[in-house]
Amino acid sequence: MIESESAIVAAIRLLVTGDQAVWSIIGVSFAVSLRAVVIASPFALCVAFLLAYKSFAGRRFLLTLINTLMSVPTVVVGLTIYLLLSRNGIAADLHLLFTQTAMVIGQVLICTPLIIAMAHSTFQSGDQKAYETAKTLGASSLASMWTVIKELRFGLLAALIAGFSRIIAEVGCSMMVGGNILDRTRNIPTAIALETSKGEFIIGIALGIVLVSLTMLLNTILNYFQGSGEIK
Amino acid sequence: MKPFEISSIQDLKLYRGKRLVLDIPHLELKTGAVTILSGPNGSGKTTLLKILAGLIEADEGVFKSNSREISCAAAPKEFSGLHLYMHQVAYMFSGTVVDNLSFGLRQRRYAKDIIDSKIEKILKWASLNHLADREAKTLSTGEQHQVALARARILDPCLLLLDETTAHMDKSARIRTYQLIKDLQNDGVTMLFATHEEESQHELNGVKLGIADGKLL
Ligand SMILES: Nc1ncnc2c1ncn2[C@@H]1O[C@H](COP(=O)(O)OP(=O)(O)O)[C@@H](O)[C@H]1O
Ligand SMILES: [Mg+2]
Repeated sequence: MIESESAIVAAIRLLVTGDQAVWSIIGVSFAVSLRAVVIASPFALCVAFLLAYKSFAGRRFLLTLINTLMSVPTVVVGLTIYLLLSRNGIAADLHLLFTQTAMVIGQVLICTPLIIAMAHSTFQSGDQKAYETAKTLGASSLASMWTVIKELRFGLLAALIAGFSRIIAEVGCSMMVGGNILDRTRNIPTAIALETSKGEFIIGIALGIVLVSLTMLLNTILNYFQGSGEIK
Repeated sequence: MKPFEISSIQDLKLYRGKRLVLDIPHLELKTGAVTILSGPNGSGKTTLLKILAGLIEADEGVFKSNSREISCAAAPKEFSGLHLYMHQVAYMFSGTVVDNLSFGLRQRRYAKDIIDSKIEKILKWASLNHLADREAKTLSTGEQHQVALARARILDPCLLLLDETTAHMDKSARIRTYQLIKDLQNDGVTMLFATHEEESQHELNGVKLGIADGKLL
C-alpha cells in the first residue's frame, strides 16, 4: 500500500520531468476531445438556436429526445459504435475500430446532446430583441443568428466547456471503441482505469491531477471572461 | 427591383392559436407622413408593426405600393432591412455606440470610409458625439432610444415603425426624441408611431388612427 502523500509527490515529479508515456496519454486525450467539440459545436449550436427561435413540428419531441440522449451511459454509446464498426457491423469496411477517429465519433455523440441542451437554455434566457433588431436592420437569418451567438458568447462558451469537460473525463466509450492502445488511443481516463487495475497508482494519480487541473483552468478562464464581459 | 414603399394594406388577418388578434380590412399609410396608431395595451399595435417590419408573417393579407402588390407570405423578405421596427425598449448590441450605429451598414457591406462618414453625420444629427465610444448597454433608456433612432435613420428606411418609443422616458428625453422624430418627418420618412398616450398625439402632427381588439376604429 502506498502512502498517498508520497504518491502525489511522485505523480507531480512524473509530470514535470516530462515522462514520455504520460504526456502521450495527455496528448491523445486533447487531440480526441478537442476535435470532438470542434466538430459537434456548429451543429449543436444551430439545433439549439432553432429549438429556441423557431416553432416547427416535432420540436417538443426533439427536446425530449435530447434530454434522454443526455443521460444515455457512455458505454452504451460505445457499444453501439462498436457494433457498427466491428467485423460484422455495417460500417466494418471503414476499418475505424480502435482508432482515434472512432473515439472522436463516440465523443461527438456524447457531447452533442449536452451542448444542445445547455445552449438552448442560454438562447432561451437571452433577449429575443437581439434577433429581431438584427433582422430589422437588414441582417440575413444566418447573420442574425450569428449576431445572437456573439451576444450570448459567454453563456454559449460555458455550454461548450461543459461538453468538453464531459468527454475529456469519459471512460466507457473511449475504452470500447478506442481499445486503450498506448500512443494511439490511450487517453487519460482509460489509462487511469488500466493503471489502477494494475495497482500502478502513481501514474493514475498524476493523470488525475492533470484532469482536475485542466477543469479548474477552463472554469477559471470562463469565470474571468464572464466577470469582465458583463455589465454591472 | 425598386424597394417596396408600402401605401396600403388589404384584408390583413393574424391568428394566435384560434384567436384572431388582428383583423384589418383596409389601412392607408400616407407616404412621407406620420401615422399615429393609438390603442390600449393588448390591442395589437406591436403585432401590426412587426408584420409591417416583416418580423411576423400574417396569415392573410395583401400589401400595396404605388407600383405593385405583394402577398403576406412574400412580405417578410421584402420588408426586412427597409421597414425598420424599433422596440418599445431598444436593444443595444454589445460594443460601443458606433458599433451599434454601423451594424446595418456592415450587414450591407459598405466600405469603411463610407461607413465612417455616415457615422459622423448621424452622430451630429442625434447629438451623440459625446457618447460615441461608450459601451451602448451602459446608456440610459432615453439615450439608447436616441442611438436606436440614429441606427435606423443611417439606413434611410422607407418606413419607420416606432413602438411606444417615448413610453419609458423622462420629460427631457421625450422632448429630444420628439425633435428627432420631427426631423425625420421633415425628411419625408414615412412613419407609423404606436402609442397608448395622449401626449404623443399632441406632440406629433400626423394622421390619427385608433385600434382596439385588433380592429381599427
Ligand atoms: N407570441 C404571442 N403568442 C400569443 N399571443 C400573443 C403573442 N404576442 C401577442 N399576443 C397577443 O396578441 C394581442 C396583441 O398584442 P400586442 O400586439 O402586443 O398589443 P399591444 O402592442 O397593442 O399592447 C394580445 O392579446 C396579446 O396577448
Ligand atoms: Mg406593444
